[in-house]
Amino acid sequence: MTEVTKDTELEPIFTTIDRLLEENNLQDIVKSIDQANLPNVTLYIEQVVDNSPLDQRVALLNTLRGIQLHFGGEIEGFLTALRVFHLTNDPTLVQDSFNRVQDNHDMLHQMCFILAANGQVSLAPSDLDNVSKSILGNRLLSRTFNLLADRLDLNEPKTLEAIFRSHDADGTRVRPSLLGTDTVSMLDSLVNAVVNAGFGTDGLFTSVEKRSPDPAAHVAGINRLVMTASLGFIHMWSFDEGPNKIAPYLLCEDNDVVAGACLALGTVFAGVQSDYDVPLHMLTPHLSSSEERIRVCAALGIGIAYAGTDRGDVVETLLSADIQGDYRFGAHIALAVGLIAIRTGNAAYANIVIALTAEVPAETIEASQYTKLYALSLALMFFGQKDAESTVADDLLTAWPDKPRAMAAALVRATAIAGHSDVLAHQDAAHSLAALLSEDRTVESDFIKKKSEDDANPGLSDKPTSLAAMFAARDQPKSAPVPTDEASPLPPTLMALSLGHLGDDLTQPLLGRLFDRIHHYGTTASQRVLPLAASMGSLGVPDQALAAGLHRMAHNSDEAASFNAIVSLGLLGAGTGDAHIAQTLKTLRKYYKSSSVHQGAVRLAHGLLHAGKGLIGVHTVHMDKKLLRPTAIAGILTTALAMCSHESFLKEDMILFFPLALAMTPRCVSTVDAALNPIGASVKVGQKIDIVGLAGKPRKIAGFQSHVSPVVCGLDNVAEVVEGEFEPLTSLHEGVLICKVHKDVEHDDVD
Amino acid sequence: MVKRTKTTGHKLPTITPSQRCKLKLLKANRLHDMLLIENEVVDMMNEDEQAGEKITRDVDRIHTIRGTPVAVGVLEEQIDESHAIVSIGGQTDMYVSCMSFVDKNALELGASVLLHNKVSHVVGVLPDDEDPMVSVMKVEKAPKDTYADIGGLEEQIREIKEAVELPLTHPELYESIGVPPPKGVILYGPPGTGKTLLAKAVANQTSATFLRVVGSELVQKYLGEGPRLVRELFKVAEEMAPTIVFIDEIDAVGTKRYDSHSGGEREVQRTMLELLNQLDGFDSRTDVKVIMATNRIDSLDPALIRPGRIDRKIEFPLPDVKTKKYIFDIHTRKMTLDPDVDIDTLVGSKDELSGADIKAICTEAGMLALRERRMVVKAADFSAARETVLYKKKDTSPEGLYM
Repeated sequence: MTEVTKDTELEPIFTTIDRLLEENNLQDIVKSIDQANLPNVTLYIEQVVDNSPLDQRVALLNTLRGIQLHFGGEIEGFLTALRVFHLTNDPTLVQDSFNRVQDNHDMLHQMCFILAANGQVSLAPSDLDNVSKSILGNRLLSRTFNLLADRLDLNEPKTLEAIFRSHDADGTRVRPSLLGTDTVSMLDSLVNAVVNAGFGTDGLFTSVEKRSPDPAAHVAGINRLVMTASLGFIHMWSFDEGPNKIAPYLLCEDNDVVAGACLALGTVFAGVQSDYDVPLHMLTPHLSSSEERIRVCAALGIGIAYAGTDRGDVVETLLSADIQGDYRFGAHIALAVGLIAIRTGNAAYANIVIALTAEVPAETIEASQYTKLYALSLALMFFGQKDAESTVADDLLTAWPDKPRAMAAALVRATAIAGHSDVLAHQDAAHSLAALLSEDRTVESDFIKKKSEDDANPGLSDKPTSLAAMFAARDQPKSAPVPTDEASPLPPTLMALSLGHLGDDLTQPLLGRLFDRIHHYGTTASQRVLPLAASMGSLGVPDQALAAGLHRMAHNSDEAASFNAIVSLGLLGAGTGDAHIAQTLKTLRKYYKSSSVHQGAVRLAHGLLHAGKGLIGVHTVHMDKKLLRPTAIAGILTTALAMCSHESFLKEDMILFFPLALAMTPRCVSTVDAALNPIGASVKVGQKIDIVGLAGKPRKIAGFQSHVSPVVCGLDNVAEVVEGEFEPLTSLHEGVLICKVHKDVEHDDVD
Repeated sequence: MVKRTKTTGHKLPTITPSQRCKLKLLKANRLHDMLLIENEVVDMMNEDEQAGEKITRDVDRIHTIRGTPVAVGVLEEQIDESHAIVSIGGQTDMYVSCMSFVDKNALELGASVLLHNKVSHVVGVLPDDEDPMVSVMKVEKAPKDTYADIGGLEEQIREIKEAVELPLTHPELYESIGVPPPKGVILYGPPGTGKTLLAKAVANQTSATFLRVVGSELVQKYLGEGPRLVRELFKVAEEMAPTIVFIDEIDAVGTKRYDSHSGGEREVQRTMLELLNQLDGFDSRTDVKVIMATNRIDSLDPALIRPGRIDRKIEFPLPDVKTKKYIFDIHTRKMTLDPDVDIDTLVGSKDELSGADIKAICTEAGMLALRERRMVVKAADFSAARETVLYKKKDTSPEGLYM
């Protein structure tokens, strides 16, 4: 025994950790830690936690937090507390972290910055000072973003031509007659807005605005609505200017424009809260409008604007609206409530939401594409709550027919296991997926058999063989597509696979493999959802193998499947401007030169690829991928589910693209001093190196370049403030960092 | 027909702590579990008798339709979705129909197609043939060296990034400024200063295709083979664009032209002329970048490194004191050092050490410690190692010889 204790001085620290883990008293490690090896040890324990079985993680996280707090890492402890909250839904530790720093304003502000970026603002204590409240309301985001744009000299609006032409050296032109269609010009305006998102100026609207008052004069209906709503992206996060810009449209006589403006207003406040409740005041009157699309857009707008706030009064306002048996309006109210009361597990709201469907005939519930939104609403409310699946299926939804109920249960399960990286949950989802696929295959082969019997053309070369249908249904572009089953549990089950592993680098390639298998064996219905599910797992990290897989799927002869695959390519590389994906899109554009729907998809993907001129990404995880952003996941999930019903997505459900704004955010590092004034510290940005388990002081960044903050960095990059004049309070690598200013260095500068 | 196993492009992730520890075990277990689940899913799908049978039946049917033997022709022109003009044996042109199960994406002009032996329908496409020599050059497995393993050379890293990576990932930046992006760079400097290492790091980091050639590979036995290989290389590079082509030891083919009577010499020079043409000839390529490396830039043909072909010349000098210290840091990073080890004294002396020498010293010091079964490396080990390495270096260098 004595020998062992003697050896501890010589044995590597990681061996000590392993030994203590086996003996179940990891807390003793504190004795062997000093300031020099603290980062290495915490990193090691963090990764042990990530890779341990689910039931051991909470205890390990508690120990980890103890170690972090012991060495004064309040913020690191706060992050760990948030992770505990994610696993247990118990906010005690989060509150404890806030209580510990009550008197330290810098720390408090730093925590607020983290929570604001995370989107779960309802977790913060209610008795905050005004400064903290404005941080929590993300009101500094617009300023940071504008500063970033200034520094990078990106204020010049980017035009559509610049995006589409930039990689198009050989000058292939698409016939203009095709691009004149309303759908494409609607998608174009959307692309323009996404590319110029957050800048407040653009090349299409603001320039047209000067000439004629109505930017969308030449289109009508939903296209006009979406074009107006795109303004929301352009003025995103601008809580003071944005409403003024959009208010004139709310007073317009055209119903489409008003509806679009309602949505735009909501989008402006995506992730941002203002003191005066602007969206609530401006949109509430429209909830009782006689025009359906205005009501729907107002409800959705409120939902986006207040997502994650858990504001009782807003939910009340929404639920008091008279839905007059309007299934679609009810669905959007439900979605908005789900967004606002995300992960509260509020059974009362859940009951009211279900009550909205009480008098709806079972056939409607089974056949309408809006049933998904009710289910999604429940799934959001029970986000991260593992036992909610049976509650929803067995207690709440008893009145629903079997199939939609199964779909709702699958959706609830998908959000319940999000980010858990739990092998057992993954196995469950994979098994039920295999069962669903074999069921689906029978249905589909019946359909094809029936259709080929109907086909009066038995010619050898033209007859679609069933093999083709099995692999890619490649040879029947002219024939009627397999109809979409709106109540199928397949989409949520597929998405559960990738949601379960969000932020987990280790398992991403394995998920990719699994998706390849499913693509190989899958049915048309699964191939429509597969690209969305596959890209959802690694948004903003354009993995080459995954992009190649999506490229393959983009050649599917099923219009919905290829449309989704193309847009998924854009989502995968959102905000990165990845050259490989741009090249792929270019070839796809040539390939689909005679299909206007696919042209639209390619354009949308291009727009997403260059979102915010390459500054804004679609992020579902943050803080070194350690924390989930529930509202962002809600946003991407809404859009992805809407895209599963591709026909209606290109028409009236295009408005469901807008919740994506909740996930759109720049991943940047900006530095502020204690008074929250931006300061330009020099920051190293480079590739991240996995240094876990290495002895000594290994470098964390490879191939870095130095910039002056704020800087933008990709999801697989890290940024680090250079030691010297400014010293950040924490060891974080992203978001807004509050820095201490070293007096002596500053003094030298003044001289 | 050869049975093709379905492979996925996804590589298994590497598990990071390489030493034995609990974390490694946990990670390996998770990977194992995930693979088991994947296996289960595949089994469940295959169990679906109906589907499996149907696929076999369909494959059989395609085989019957194809028939044996199968004639091979060249696709001359594609008329519409289901009709094409093919030529057989380069003489007879025929208007034939395409079977519905033929992969339309693989059908391109000049492709070899399979034709039914009686009715001459197109029943399949043969994969495009490509010189196996060239496909060998593609770096499938990224090298392990990253920018982190390079000590110093900040300036060189920055330059190579600007000249090679940036034009591939953000061509629009150059377009908006109105400057044509550089076509290639040459890395030169004394041996052991990290030229190849930097190229490896580029290959590791870049998302572009990376082709690597050694100059001597381009020297071939038969007349015309060398230039053809260069052409093939650039053709493949263009197909897989964006691409970075790395030619190590370029002096093997790129030496100055002179009047030579040896056929071998002339062939080498023709290879270089082809290289010149590919670098800046009639068909200029924007998304192929070339990196060359050499020890002897002075012996290269001036035409090869003129601006327009190779726009950037990046020098790799012997490291200065600061960089030497940095390199020592990198190599000793993973070593357990005794507190008495003072790297400054090791670096301070005036020896001309290259990066490779420093690595050798560190390795040698580690070996010495290992010999005495110690887990820590002491200062004495380093000084002994330095003596050994420097002695070896002197020993082999010509200045040390006295006749």
